[in-house]
Amino acid sequence: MRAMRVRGAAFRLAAALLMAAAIPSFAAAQNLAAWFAAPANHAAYGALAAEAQQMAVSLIQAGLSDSLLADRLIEAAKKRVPPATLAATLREDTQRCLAVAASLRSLGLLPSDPKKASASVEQASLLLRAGISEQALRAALAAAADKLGANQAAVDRALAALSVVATIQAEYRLSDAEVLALATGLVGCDLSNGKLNSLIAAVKSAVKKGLSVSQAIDDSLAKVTKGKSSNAASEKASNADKEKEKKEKDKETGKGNGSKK
Amino acid sequence: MMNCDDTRACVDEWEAGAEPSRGPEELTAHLASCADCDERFGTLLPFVERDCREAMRFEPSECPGADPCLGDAVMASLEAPRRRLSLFAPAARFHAVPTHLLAAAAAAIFVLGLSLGIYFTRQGSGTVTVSFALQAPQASTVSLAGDFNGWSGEGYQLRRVGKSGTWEIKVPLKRGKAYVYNFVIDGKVWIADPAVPAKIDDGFGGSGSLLRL
Repeated sequence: MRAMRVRGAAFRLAAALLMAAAIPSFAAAQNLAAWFAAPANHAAYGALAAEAQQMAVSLIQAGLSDSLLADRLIEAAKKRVPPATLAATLREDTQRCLAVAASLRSLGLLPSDPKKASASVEQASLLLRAGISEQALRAALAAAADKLGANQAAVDRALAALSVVATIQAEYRLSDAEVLALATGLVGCDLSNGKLNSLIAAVKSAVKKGLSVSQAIDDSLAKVTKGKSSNAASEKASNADKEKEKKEKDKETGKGNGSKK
Repeated sequence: MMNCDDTRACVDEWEAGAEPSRGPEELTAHLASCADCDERFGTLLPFVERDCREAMRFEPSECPGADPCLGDAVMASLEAPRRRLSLFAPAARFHAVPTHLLAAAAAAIFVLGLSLGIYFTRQGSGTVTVSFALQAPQASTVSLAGDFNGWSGEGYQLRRVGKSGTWEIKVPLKRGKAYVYNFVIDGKVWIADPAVPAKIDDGFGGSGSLLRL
């Protein structure tokens, strides 16, 4: 009897521990239907549920997760957005997400896992909402795919570069050509993703020194791109050193500059 | 005193994501005396300084979810039963352990393993403590809401610093991601961060701030 009680308790413990471990997974999987099922959400936004579900279906069919819309619903509810405004925004968001997914897919950059695909689409959509054009997004993605191959690293690179572009664009009015040049230049430069932000201050500093924004961008990019600046400058320095050494040798051997004639 | 080679090595270390072996003060001193290095690396200096400051400022104890003692405590909890078994039970006794106890132990290790995974991921994947600040002398409360906290300012109230009307909060966030956030003043007014130029249209008539780490 005692053994059975111990065995029963142990199995209950095991089940409880496994349940406890599984709860966060259930919470993370909360989708649109679950959100609308909550009484407070249903009362405020229940009228949108059917249309939102249709939008969710179109996202899921495109290989994405409906969490893209669920996150926006959460934001809207916290901000107490009127249902009509929310409905219009959800439609725009859905179209934007589908367009981003199509861009990623055309370059072989859309992950097959809906969760990963949604994460990439969400980050890219943020940049579009920050003022980055779809053309710049595609150009940056294409440049990153060329440099790194069709993989997640290329997506990360393009998004990191475009975040910097968004910040510089917010401060200085950039033409479409400048945006494209900056985006592709950042993708191709030698700075790691984490250091790309340094370009913002570099551009600001160059503008303060009197350069035009366009020149400031070129100058700053040149300093962090192989073969253009710091390396070119170091090559120049090393050539100067070599020349100096040569001159010294020439002096030792009694040759002057004139001997080169 | 640094020379040009040391400076280049220092910048290379920084670009590679490592903490430079020489302090930013030495770098500053060299750039002040070397026009060539100043031209090459001058614009990067503020970032080297910033990252050195961040590296010094970031301590795991500031991160609410990353108790530095947690790893030791969990390891101790995993190791303690093993020590007891090895002291009081011969190795052969392991074969006689009932299956239900093994199931319970496996479940416990699975759960503890998840906790360790979360802990080490937070530490190893580049979490950085971000300091948010807002100048709002008239505000009674200011909270921070963004996509990183489900747009809920609960638990993210800013602390008034001194009498200047500056509000501040430090939040650990993962690097390599873009975030959107708002300050919420007195629980009802949602504003973008005035100090951040990149704004995101929230689609609801307002805007949020874009933060990329």
